Amino acid sequence: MRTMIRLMSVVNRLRALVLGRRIERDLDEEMAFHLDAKVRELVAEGVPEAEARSAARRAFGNLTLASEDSRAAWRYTFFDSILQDVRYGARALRRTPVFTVAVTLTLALGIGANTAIFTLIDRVLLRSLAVQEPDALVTFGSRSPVGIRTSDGPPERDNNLFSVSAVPRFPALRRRVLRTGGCLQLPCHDLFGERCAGARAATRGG
Amino acid sequence: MHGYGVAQFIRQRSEEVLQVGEGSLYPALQRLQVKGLVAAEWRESDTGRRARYYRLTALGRAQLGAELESYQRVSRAIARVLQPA
Repeated sequence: MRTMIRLMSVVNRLRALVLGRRIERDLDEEMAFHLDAKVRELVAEGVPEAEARSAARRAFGNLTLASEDSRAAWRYTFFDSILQDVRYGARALRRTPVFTVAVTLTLALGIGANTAIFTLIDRVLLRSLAVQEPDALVTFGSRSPVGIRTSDGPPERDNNLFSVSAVPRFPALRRRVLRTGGCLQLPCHDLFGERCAGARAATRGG
Repeated sequence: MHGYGVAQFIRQRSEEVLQVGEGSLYPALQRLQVKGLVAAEWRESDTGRRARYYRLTALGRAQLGAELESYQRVSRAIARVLQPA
């Protein structure tokens, strides 16, 4: 039954799109009928016409709210309100063209400059490392005298950091760290290719 | 029954206890209509003026049954709780 109701809602709302203003006209006429019927009833009871009219309005409550809520029932209010917000934003921007241009330029330059710089860094520093598998690189941290941080994960995370105290547990690793002074070849992965051999030599030489 | 008739009916049957703002009836009727629970058509009323008449659809009748069922379950439970032991 619930799926049936949902299906009917979709069908009826689509129909409402086609009907357009007719729904609003029907509502207006219906509510006018209601008010007049009420007035007629009160007048029949002996209430003066003017008084009956305002009494009918009082009994009806908020007329505008009722008709707006009634109309809203036929619409997909979610999309409607988004559309309204976008239109409102566009109008506000058009009212203050200088501000709009300034903000657009600021955003354009800011985003453009950032993209350019990060593209540069990406190409020069990250992509073109003289290593066969840049993903598998580890970096030496500076938090403690000797530390190793794997390249993935945020730098502040201690679980990515082999601290000084951990290094002695891997004597072979430590020996290599001390011997190469920066360029490290892990036992199981051949991280560095031919190009790094030169770099290693340079480090040792320098 | 048209909207005004519904409002009158509720007021009279409840012996004036239930007096909702009559206007709030219309959003509710529209929602029922969108869900396909009531159907509406324009007809001439007894005063000769055009009015919109609502009636329950088959789907609406089924839904009413389900709602009544659950309402009565709750109301029976409340009555039992309030009854002096």
